[in-house]
Amino acid sequence: MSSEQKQVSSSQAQSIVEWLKEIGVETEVKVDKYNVAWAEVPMEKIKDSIRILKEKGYRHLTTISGVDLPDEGVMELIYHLAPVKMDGYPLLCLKTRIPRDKPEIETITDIFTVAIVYEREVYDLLGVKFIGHKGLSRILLPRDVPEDYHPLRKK
Amino acid sequence: MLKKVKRWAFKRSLWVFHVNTGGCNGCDIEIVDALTPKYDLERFGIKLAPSPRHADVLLVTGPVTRKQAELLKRIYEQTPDPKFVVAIGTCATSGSTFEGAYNVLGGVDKVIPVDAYVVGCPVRPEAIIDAIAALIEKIDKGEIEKIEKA
Amino acid sequence: MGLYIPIGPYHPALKEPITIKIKVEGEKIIDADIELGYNHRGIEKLLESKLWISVPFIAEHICGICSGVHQLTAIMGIERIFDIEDKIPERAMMLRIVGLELERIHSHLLWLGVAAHEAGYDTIFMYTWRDREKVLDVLEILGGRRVVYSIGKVGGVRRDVDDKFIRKAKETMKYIKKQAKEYIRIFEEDPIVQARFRNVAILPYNVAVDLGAVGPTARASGVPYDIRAEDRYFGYSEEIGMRVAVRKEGDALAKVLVRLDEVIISADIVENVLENLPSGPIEIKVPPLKAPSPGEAYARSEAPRGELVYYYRSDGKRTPYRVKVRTPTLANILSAGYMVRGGYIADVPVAFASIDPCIACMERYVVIDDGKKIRKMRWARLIHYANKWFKQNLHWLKEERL
Repeated sequence: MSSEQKQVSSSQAQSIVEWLKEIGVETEVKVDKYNVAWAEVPMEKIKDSIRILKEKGYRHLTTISGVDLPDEGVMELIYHLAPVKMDGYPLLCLKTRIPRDKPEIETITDIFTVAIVYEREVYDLLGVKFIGHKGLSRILLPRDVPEDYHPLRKK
Repeated sequence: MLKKVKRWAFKRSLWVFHVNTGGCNGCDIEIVDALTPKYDLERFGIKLAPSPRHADVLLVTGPVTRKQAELLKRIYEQTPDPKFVVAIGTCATSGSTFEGAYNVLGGVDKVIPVDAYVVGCPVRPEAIIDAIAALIEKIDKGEIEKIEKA
Repeated sequence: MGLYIPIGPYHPALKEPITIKIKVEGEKIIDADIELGYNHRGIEKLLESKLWISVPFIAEHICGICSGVHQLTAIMGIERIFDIEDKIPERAMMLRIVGLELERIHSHLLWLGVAAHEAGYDTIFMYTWRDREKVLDVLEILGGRRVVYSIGKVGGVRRDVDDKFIRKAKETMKYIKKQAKEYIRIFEEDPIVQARFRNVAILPYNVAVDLGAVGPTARASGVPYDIRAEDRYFGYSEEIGMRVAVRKEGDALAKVLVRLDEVIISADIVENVLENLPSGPIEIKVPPLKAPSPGEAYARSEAPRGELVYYYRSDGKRTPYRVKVRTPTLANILSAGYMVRGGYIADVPVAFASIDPCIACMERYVVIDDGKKIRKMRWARLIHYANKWFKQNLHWLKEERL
């Protein structure tokens, strides 16, 4: 990536930092060589963050990834957002952490309808409960597996 | 061998029913391809059966996911005797790269008895035709016990 | 009248029908009851126990129709997490594009044949699959095999091409473009075909955006979103002929036409790239890739069905800590549910097929609940019923739809 491109990305990253500051979220946004930005916000702020980012142009939710980190006692949720018609803006992987012994977080299905499907997948394979999801149930595994069977959890 | 197959096919046609147990669709596409003009399974008198109840041969693809296992068993039970099961593809034979995955049983013979294995990833249409033709030849030669004894 | 569309095999003896059921509150979809698990193999977990270098080999077996884009997107992510992506030689990138566009063509022709078959046009099915064979012949030379062609490798591509290949590929692309134009003509002019596809399975622009639809399913509704144009991975650019195909009507006909537009654009890209293929190596010599430094990578591409995403997390070990794969069909499943509502029962096969679902499509049932009784119909029987119904009702349907 040329240095000119890098500079463009940095100014875009700065915009993202500003938008989040507007709603009281202080965070760093790092853009890697491949024009993918990474940022972390606290659990209580993730929904507002996603809402403002969508307003500003990050109107496409690609998917939600869940990562089990037993050594740190948390699960990480990554909301992969993509900008629509915003020249130069990076893809944004917005992360948050939730406690592993109580893996719950507010749903974002009222902001992104397609999250209906992605939240169910994270629930099915990792056991994260999305509060407010109007139909949280398994989507990939057979319905007759034990309730606490979430294969993507680390032993 | 082809001459004999054609002769035999004039007497009777073989109905095959296709079952996918959770594969990538690669083998399934090649099975459908075997029916297209370039390969043309139909001229051997081989037809796709509309339901297991009309089938002589079950062509099974896929590594058999857990949910599919029960379905596969039911389809096998619904198929009237004498019947043949041909496992098409490496997944159907052993599970292939998916063996050991938590939702995969690893091969058709983990659920139902298999008469022939055709390995390949996916199996070329020529190999599918070859396998069925070989089966027909065995039937013709009286080498299949379950037909002789039926 | 409630309409439940199953996606996946179903047997009357099994307790749970596999259905796609939409829960609504007024006009707004609040949930979709979907079961997809018939093809769930547990790949993400499996990859946690395989070496990093094995990941692309497994990725190419996830889908037999688009194995190329799965492999190359997996490789894109690997090259990012090992931090070698900016070193890939230009010739290799261009050959990757050739492989991916050839795949797009064969996948769209395959889909068109299946959609035509489901609407009772077996002649179109035979023609498109015959044309597809010619594309597979080219892919077979490029990769060495006709279905899982395995063009890529970490660091470049596996095989180089010569002038003979370039001539054959260009010849085939000329033929394909001619065929695609003919299919467009048939779909735009034949009134009987039109009655089955026009104004059927309409996905309005706003709904496509709200439900997160991707790929040709979205572009047929006027949403100009194509990852090749957004991210310009592997060197996609207007110079090599990349254009975003968009149609506005959002109906099944638009979904057919937008894919045929894409076939022509892909053929153009293949011709342009091969005409101006940069010289040089087809790979960089990578040191044995064992373990990347701890970190993460994100890669996405435009598969024939839409946006395909790979996410990797490394903790410094030789096996991945986490691999996430999101296929385009999952992103389109709510749109599929939306599109099958309304219309007649006989429209169901076309409506559902129009998202080009990448799911085993052999055994399916439709469960029809009209409030008074529940009927179950095998998919093949539904197609038969639909074709017969259309023949009988064509005269007034033509008036209504055209």
